[in-house]
Amino acid sequence: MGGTSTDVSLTYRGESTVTKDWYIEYGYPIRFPSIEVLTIGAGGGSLAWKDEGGSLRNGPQSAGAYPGPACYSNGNEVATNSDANVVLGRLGYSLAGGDITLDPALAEKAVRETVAEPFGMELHEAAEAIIDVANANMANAVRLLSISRGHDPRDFALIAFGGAGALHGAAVAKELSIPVVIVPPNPGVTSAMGCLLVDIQHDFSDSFMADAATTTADDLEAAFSKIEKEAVTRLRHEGVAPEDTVLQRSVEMMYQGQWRSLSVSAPSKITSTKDLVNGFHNEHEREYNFRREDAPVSIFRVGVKATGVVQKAKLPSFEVVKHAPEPSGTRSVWFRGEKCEAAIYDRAKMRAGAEFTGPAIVEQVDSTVVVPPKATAKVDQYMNILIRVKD
Amino acid sequence: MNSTAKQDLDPVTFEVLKNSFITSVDQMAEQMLRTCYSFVIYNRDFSNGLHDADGNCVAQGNSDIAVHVGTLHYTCKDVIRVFKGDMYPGDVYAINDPYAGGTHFSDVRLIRPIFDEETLIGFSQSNGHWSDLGGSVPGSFNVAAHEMFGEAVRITPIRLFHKGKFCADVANMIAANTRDPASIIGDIHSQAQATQVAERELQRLVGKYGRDQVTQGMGAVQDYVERAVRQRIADLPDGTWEAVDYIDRDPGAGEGMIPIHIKMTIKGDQIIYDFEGSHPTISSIYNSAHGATFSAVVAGMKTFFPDLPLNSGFYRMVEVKAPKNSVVSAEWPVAVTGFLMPFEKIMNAIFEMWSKIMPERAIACAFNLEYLLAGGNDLRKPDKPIYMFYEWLPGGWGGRNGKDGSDVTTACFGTGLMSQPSEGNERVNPTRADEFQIKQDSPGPGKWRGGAGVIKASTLLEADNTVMSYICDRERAVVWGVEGGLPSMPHGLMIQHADTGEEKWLGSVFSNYKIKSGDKFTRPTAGGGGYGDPMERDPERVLQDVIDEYVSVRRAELDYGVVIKVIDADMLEYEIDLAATERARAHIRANRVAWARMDPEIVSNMYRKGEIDEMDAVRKYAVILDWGTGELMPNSTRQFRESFEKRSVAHWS
Repeated sequence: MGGTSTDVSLTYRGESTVTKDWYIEYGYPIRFPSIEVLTIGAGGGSLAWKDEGGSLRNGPQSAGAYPGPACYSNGNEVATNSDANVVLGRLGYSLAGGDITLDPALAEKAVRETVAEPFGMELHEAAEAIIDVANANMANAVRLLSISRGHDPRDFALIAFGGAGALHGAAVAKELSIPVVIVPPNPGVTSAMGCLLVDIQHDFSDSFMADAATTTADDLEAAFSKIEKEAVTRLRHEGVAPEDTVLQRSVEMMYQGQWRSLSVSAPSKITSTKDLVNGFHNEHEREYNFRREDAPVSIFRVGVKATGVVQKAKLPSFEVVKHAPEPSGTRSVWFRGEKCEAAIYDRAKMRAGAEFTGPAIVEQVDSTVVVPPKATAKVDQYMNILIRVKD
Repeated sequence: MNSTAKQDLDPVTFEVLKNSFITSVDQMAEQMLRTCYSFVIYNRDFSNGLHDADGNCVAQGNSDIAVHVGTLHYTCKDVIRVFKGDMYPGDVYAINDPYAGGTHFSDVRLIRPIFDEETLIGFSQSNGHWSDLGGSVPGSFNVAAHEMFGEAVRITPIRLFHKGKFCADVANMIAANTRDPASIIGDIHSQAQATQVAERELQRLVGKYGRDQVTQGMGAVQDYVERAVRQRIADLPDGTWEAVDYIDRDPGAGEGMIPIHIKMTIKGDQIIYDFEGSHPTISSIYNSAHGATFSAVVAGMKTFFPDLPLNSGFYRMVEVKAPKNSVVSAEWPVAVTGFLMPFEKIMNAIFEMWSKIMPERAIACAFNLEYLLAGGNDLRKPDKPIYMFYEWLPGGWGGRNGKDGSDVTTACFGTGLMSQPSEGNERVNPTRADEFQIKQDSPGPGKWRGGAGVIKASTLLEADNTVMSYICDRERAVVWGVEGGLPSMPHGLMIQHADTGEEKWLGSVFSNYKIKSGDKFTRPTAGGGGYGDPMERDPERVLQDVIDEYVSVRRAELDYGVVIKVIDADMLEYEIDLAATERARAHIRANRVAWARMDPEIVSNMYRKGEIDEMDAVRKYAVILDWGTGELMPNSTRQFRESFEKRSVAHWS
């Protein structure tokens, strides 16, 4: 979650989901594969508003980087998520190591005039309502990428990043019953760091339209070896050594007559088409809740994901020594309508093995981490904060 | 009523539930897209809905097509009527009955009751356009049918799953009446499991918020939409607006277009649409039953309220009245499979009336939807299976106030539809696409021109026993302009027979026409009508359209009075001749009213001699001819000129 929007993506068993059906702007579809990222208008600067039906809304309009939230003192007077977070005490008055100073009086005024008065709410109730609507919108986006694909959120962790991600991560996780939130050491620059850590990857595919029942393992091997040859040539050209090359095969299949195919991963040596077909039945049932054992299966396409493993920057690792960290102070923070005294921690001074319980706020140059009451947090050897959300 | 009316649910729970209801429907759509068998569903001709325990619509999907809007609650209520007291968890029912509020037989709805423990809390519904429902024509669009008995299988509410067990006997009987039984059984499973997605979601919400809050939320989201729309309507001035649009013809009667009259009255926060004066049912499938007509009204109106979610709350302030057994209120057993023809006329008429109320959103007429259906045996495959070619094309939408119309867009009845991929069609049908491109000069001229249509030509490959049907309109009720804008061009199909080399104009509606391997069929789609006087279009915009090849140099002068010199067409170098443009525009302004009132017989003669083409006939002389022979259509011309005088001539300064 950044200033204007939230990007959501799902990683399952270490793999990002990939889509061939996406768009940058609505109405301009793109049909080549890309990592599936769902973007919604929920950011620190998203505006709260009341529509004609009398419903409280949040975004997608945003105050942007300028004038930004009301508390930036640049002239915007409509409440934003950041203003609500200031009112609730979750966001401190000084950000980016003191480069940005927030005005709590302006945040209060905006929340009061935009939401509290029109809805007949108390100030803190209104601020929490703004945050709750934003969290609900984010949770729905996560739900669209997870539950609707047959994934159970209880099997996942939520990685909260971007400048505002860790302010909301714990609440979104709780809404979706995701047990753990992972806050990386520098949430505000995670995307930039990602670019330094990814492998080279190319996708190769070839049409292979055939009835699965009459397709032999040899037919498939021949099709795979053709595209694998292309794949290896491409990676060599890019300077990837043979020992750094990883090829992962997949076969796209469908019940005869269906229009969309479903990708099933295939072994590096195909011994039986029947095993692949069984894999398809299982995957179809997992994804769509039904299988048709009696219906003929068609093969549609073969694909190879060719990865050139690049040398990664080594992330610093520290010895984990369990301890209670020393707060730099406390301040009043509102949760569920109640004012609590929350411990304030300085992320720069956190060490591996630190363990603490919410309510707590961890402040750092590029982000602010909210640990709600009853949630527990600990710092692992890579300096991630793991927040365990509890009911 | 005011917008601060107290909601019982706290605003956050309400917002969460509202979004979750819509999300659950979108999730159904997503699953359906990934598991469907029908090529028509694959191209997004489907909708889904979530209903309360009384069958009222709680949420529709974000990308559902317009034509199913406002009909899902009718079919859900009909299922309740039949199965009340006899519904169980794991049941799924089916219905496709247009006389019970459905659209046409091809749209089959699967409906699942959703329970929390023993208590019925709602329904989920999945509506998909199946590839075939039987009847005498492949694809079940028999233009020649007068009654439903010649059309397709009518499914009144039936049970397809009983307590989770598939009723194979009933499903097989339905499938056995179609040309595509394997895919019909597949789509039953696809849609039945799609409805299960919403069940899972609703039960999750009940687990989290409790049954009372969720069922209360299902009512509250409808009240919310009602409040929002009523408030906006109350803010508009009271008054009455009228519009007339036409269907081309009644094949069982003489020449002359079929009027649909609509009078819209806004009174306080209520809207009444009265179809008094509309023509009685006609002897083709181009009739609409009450459910589809209601849907057309809602879909047309919803265009002017784009931001609100759609549910039964939207329907509460709308009243629709129609004379008995008119072309917009057909009853059993009158054929209604072509209901989309009156449907789009209603939508465009509503666009026109609302354009007066909200001029900032004003829009001229859109092109007419068109379906080309062919069926026979595919000789490319050893077992010569039956194939069903079913193709629609995108076209142009009307020019807007301050903006040109949308180019190459799917028809207004189905804005969520895809433009079909030629590759997909070629894969399943023995056809080859020879040409598919933007149709030059199709946009209706105007200060803001209509969007561009397309032209597509295809050849039939190795096939046997092939017959073709064309479901289209506006060959005579040509796409009109508004506020002084001009019409686009007539719809219709041209066939070139391989054996004789003969070219033949078949027009916009025919069925069971025999074609053979090698025959080539070509048809354009119209562009949208123009908005505003084309003499007021900035010549620089006309120049840009010439550079983009949307408008030819010749028609730039004829339609816009803009004279453009070609310097080097390959290098896209053109120049406006300003002096000549001024002269041409003065000449058009001085003569155009007389041209639009010229003796139609003279125009017919010029057309027959090849001195003018069909674009000149409709844009300059406002005359409707048989576009094959050039014969004058006197009644249609009289009706077309009435419209032209009102929509175009009256606005020229």
